[in-house]
Amino acid sequence: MTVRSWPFYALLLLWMTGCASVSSTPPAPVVVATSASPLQTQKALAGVLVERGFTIDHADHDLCTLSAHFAARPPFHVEGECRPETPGTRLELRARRGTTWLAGPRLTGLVEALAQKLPEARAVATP
Amino acid sequence: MNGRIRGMIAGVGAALLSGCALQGTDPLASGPAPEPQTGCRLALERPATNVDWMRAASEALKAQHYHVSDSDAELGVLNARRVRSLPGLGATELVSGVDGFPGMYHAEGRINDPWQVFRGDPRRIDRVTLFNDGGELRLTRGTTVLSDRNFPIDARPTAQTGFCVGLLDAVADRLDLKEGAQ
Repeated sequence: MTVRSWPFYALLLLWMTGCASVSSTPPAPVVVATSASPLQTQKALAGVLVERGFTIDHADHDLCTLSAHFAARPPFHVEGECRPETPGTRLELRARRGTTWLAGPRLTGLVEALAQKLPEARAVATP
Repeated sequence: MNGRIRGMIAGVGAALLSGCALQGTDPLASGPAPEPQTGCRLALERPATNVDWMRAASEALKAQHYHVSDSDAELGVLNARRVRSLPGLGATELVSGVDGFPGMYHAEGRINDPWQVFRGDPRRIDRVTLFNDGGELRLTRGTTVLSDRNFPIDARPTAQTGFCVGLLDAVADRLDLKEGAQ
């Protein structure tokens, strides 16, 4: 190693730390509040996803969870979880493509489609 | 002259490459949902409950070697999967050796197989979902092809008219038979 090559090694080091610091923790979910019941909310979510070509991997109306899959390379995954509130329902949405979590703004299309099916549905700023 | 030819080549190359990039559709894009292929929906008769059509659909799917992986009668969601091996398509193996000697060091405790003749077959995984959207049955399907080392060779939505009509006709027939018997 010559003295002149140190910028190269510095760059390489920066590069590799960049790779190591990619976190896999899910981001804050997109939250949708609606006056509909949890079952109605979940039906609307399943409808919106099926219209877009997703297959529903798992759905449970008691737990109010739903996970969907879209075959692509890499695949899309959408997860929805809802909680009853007084009055109405609070729906949390998360999506990832392969192993990368998608940022909130990528889900606006889904939220808009949900708002057409659910009364008083609106995106809530995450606390 | 030379410049023009070069420009043409670059133009054609750019067109080809952008064609590749545009091939994928974004299922999360905003705007109206894409129209499904014709035949991928079925209007249910009034008296058919979720349990009725789900029984009929799971029979129809089993006849096509699917198995029901998840269902919720309250929501009206039925999901089924099918895994099949694709013998003979092992030739789609893309990279066999990272180290530059294809296959030489990848015998993995089995016989030494430098030309990768004895390798596993790719698997094709079909996922089908049927959903009762307010009295109308909707069908989606996604297909993923994985190599024997779980590399995704291909993945795309595959709810085409031929498949949809075949399956939904079978569901409708079974529903009619059941109502006729009562």
